[in-house]
Order: sequence, then structure tokens, then C-alpha cells
Amino acid sequence: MTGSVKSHLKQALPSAVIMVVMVAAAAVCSSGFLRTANIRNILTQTAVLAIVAVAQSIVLFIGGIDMSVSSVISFSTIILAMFSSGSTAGLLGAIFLALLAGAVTGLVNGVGIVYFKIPAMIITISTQAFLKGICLILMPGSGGKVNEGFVRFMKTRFGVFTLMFVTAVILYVIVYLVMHNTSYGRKVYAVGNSELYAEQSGINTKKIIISIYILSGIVAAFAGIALASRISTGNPLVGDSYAMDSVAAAVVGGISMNGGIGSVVGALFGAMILSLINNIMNNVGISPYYQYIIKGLLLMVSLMLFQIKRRKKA
Amino acid sequence: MNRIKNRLRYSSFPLGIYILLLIIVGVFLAATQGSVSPTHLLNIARSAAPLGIVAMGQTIVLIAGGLDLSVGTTISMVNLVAASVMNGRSENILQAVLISLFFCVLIGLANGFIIVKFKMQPFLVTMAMSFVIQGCYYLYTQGIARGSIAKSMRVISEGWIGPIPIAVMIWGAFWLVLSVVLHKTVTVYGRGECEDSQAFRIPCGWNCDRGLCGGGGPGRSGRTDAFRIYRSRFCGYWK
Repeated sequence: MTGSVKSHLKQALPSAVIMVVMVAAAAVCSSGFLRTANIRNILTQTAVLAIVAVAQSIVLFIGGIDMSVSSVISFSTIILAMFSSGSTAGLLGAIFLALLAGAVTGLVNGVGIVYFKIPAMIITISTQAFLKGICLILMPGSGGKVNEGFVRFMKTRFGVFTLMFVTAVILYVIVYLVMHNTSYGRKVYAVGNSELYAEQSGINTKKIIISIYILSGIVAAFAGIALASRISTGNPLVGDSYAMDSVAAAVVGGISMNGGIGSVVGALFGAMILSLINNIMNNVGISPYYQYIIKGLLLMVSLMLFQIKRRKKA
Repeated sequence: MNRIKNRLRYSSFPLGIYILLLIIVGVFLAATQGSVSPTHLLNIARSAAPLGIVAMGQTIVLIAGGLDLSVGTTISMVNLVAASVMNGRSENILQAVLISLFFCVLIGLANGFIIVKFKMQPFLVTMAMSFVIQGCYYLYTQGIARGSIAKSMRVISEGWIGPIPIAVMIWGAFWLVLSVVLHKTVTVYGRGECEDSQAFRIPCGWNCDRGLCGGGGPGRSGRTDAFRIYRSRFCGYWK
């Protein structure tokens, strides 16, 4: 049955298998891999990408794409670096401001797509460029200081996990529940499958699309806040690689770019796989330059597998 | 008057963007209170030529219903390969051009082949390809760029014939060739329409793709991309 929760979760299966294979191979090849410190490192490194992947996934669900996440992330780190260093009130204000900026970016994206019929790709690249300009004006290079208490707080350890990773997992649980257990989630998948049919079934597609882009902006800003706590400064270019990597993570996790297929669970595995590549190669001692090639090839191969599987079914 | 209005409304000529260009030139002219000389404008056109040429390449791909994200890294790759093969000597120009062109065609062919054969999203394939290219040139250079472009090659970007920069002339030549190919032959538009019919889920869409593109299916798309890269290749020389 198409559209059931099970069919969406099934899409995440290949990425889970790839991840398990990678972990097993790494554990065999490198003795340092399974140490608690290394595992904790991987999980913490994954957290930011995993959160951005949520933002990207929910947009991919409705068949769109959000390239502006990268600038939203950089912008959040800058806001946190500029305003949060003094007091707790400043920290809360900065967090609120960052989330607001993400929401406004998402609103602009959504309105542009729905009311002005601009392709998602184009409008999100425009807002990305615009916001990046603002970032560079506010802070031409890396600088500022993020609230130290906040940085320490996010590094709180729970065994293998850090608070950062736990936050990401909580976010995944929330988004999972919303997408699969509420009428809003069903509507999102409906819009992704066919906007026309969704509209004819009485769904307010405009509202859904705009709200999804706003949510995506907010989640991306949230990722920026998490990243700021890790690098503890603001940086106008730090988010740049996340736009592409988040798409890659979501797609490796079995989320279709045509919309309506896949589950956020896959995005988590996808994000894990991408940061595992990095970690494993460093552990085994392979030149970091190979990482790009491996990342590209992995993306292509996993996509081919999906395509072959989907075609067989059709 | 009415007839002109109607013609404007139904023409496919992107009039708006040219009006915008004029407005921008006007606004900056007023804002800087400077004088604008043809030489100055041509200088701007000269520096815009690489972007213009890549944009034309991207145009073909977009018309065919695709998208190419690998242009950026391809340009960097060509730049590095050409520079290291040429190593500042004019004798090596032909060699450098042929080698870099070969790589470009290879990349375009791989993109096109995978997209058509496996029916994958152009966005993802070209994104993955750009990762691969990036890794390859990092490996090749080990992070340090070597070599340099020959003096006689730099004429392309720096030379002027009479009042017009050579870069702009090349840009114009590409534009002319592309216009003729797009409007007087059927190749690219045919494929674009074909993809459309698939998007609308016409039952015969799949066969239509197969049928129209025929034996040359993957090849054609590959060629289109390669065509694009052939253009983008030239940009390497400006850097």
C-alpha cells in the first residue's frame, strides 16, 4: 500500500544497511573507531548536519528544495556571536532573533513560490545570496563570542551522547510524530504526491507550502544555533557546505526529490553516513581529498539502487 | 499601438530583463555621477563573458529539462589541468586544450548517460559529479595549484581587436552558434518536450522518451551536456 507509514520507512532501509556495513567495516579496519570518545565525536559532529537534514527533508516532502538553509545557518551563528556573550537574557534574545530570521527567510521563500510562481530552486538561491550578503556585512570574517555557559551546556555528556545529539534526536522524534501521526503530516505528503490532487481534495496547499518553508527556515536557524555552540564564534561562511550536504543526506536516506516519498528517519541515517565517511577515512588514514570522491560515488550508487528498485515495482 | 502591445505580450523575447539592465545601468550612472564611456561598458562585458558563456551552456541543459550543478567544479578542473599541462609554454596550448576538452566531454557524457540510462534526477547526478570532480582535482594538485597559462593564450581574455575585446567576440560567436542550433534544428527542444510529456504522466511517456531519442538517447543528452562544457571550458582561460 502506498502512502502508509511502513512504505515510507522502507525507503530508509538501504541507508540503514549502508550505515551498519560502514560501522562494521570501520570497526574491523581501525582499532580506535569503537572507542567511546570517537563514537561521541561522530554523534556530535552528525548533530548539526542531521538537524539541517530535517529542514531539507520536510521541504523535499512537498517536492521543493531549500538552498537558503546554508545562509540561515551562518546568519544564526553570527547573531549568537554578536548578542549572546554577555548575559542569559542576551542569549535568549539572540536565539529568538535567529529563529525569527529563519522564519522570515522561509516566509519569503514560501510566498515567492506560492504567489509569484518562482521555482523553488531559484527563489531559495536568491534568498541565500541576499542573506549571505547581510552576513558578510555584519561580520566580514570569523569573530565574536558565543555565550560560554551555552557552549558548556550543549556539551553536557550522557554516556556516549552529548546534549547536542540528544537535541537532534528529540527533534527527529517530534518531526516523525508530526509527519506520520497528524493530519498536517498527511497533508504534506499529499501535496508532495500531487499538488493538484491535494488541492482538489480540499487541502489548502498554499498554506501547507508556506508553512513548510517557514518550518524549514526555523529548523535551519536551530541548526545554526547548535553549530554556534560547537564553534563558539560567528562565521559568515560556515554554513555554506550544508545546503548540498543536507540534500545529499536526505536523498541517501531514501527521500525522493519529486516529493511525497520517504521518512525523516532516513535523513538521520543519511547524515550519519556522510559524517561517518569523514571520520572513518581520518581514522584509517586516507587522504581527505578522497572524501569528496567517495561522497560523490556513494551518492550516485545509492541513487541508482533506489531507481532500479522503484522501476522494478512500477 | 494595439498590435505592438499584442506582439509584446505573446512574444517569447525576455524584454523585461533588458529593461531591467538599462534601469540598472541608469541608476548606477546617476548614483556614481560618473561618465560612462563605451570602453568602460566593454570592459564590463569582457569580465562578464565567462559567466555569459557558462550561462549559455546552462541554458541548453535547462531547455532540455535538466540542470547542471557540476559546471563550477568543471571550470576549476579545466583551469587547473590546462594550467599544469601548458606550464606557461605556448607550444603546449593545443595539447592542453585537447586534454581538458577530453575530460569535459567525459564528464558531460557520464552525466548524460547516468541521467538518461538510470532515469535519475539531474540535480543529484550533477551534484554527486561535482563532488567527484572536486575530489579528483584536489588529489591531482595535492592542494597546490601548479603551472600557468601561456602568454599567447591570455590574449583571449586580455586582447582587443580594434575597439572590441576578444572575449566579447568569442561570447558573441557562441551566442550566434547556439541561437542557430536552438532555433533552426530540432535536437534540444525535442528532448525538452519529450521530458514534459513524461512529467504529465502520459502513459506512453516512457516509450516516447525511448522512441524519440532513439539509439542516440544517452548520447544525445550526453552530447548536450558536453556541448555545454565545451563552452564552460573556455572560462578556464580567464582565471
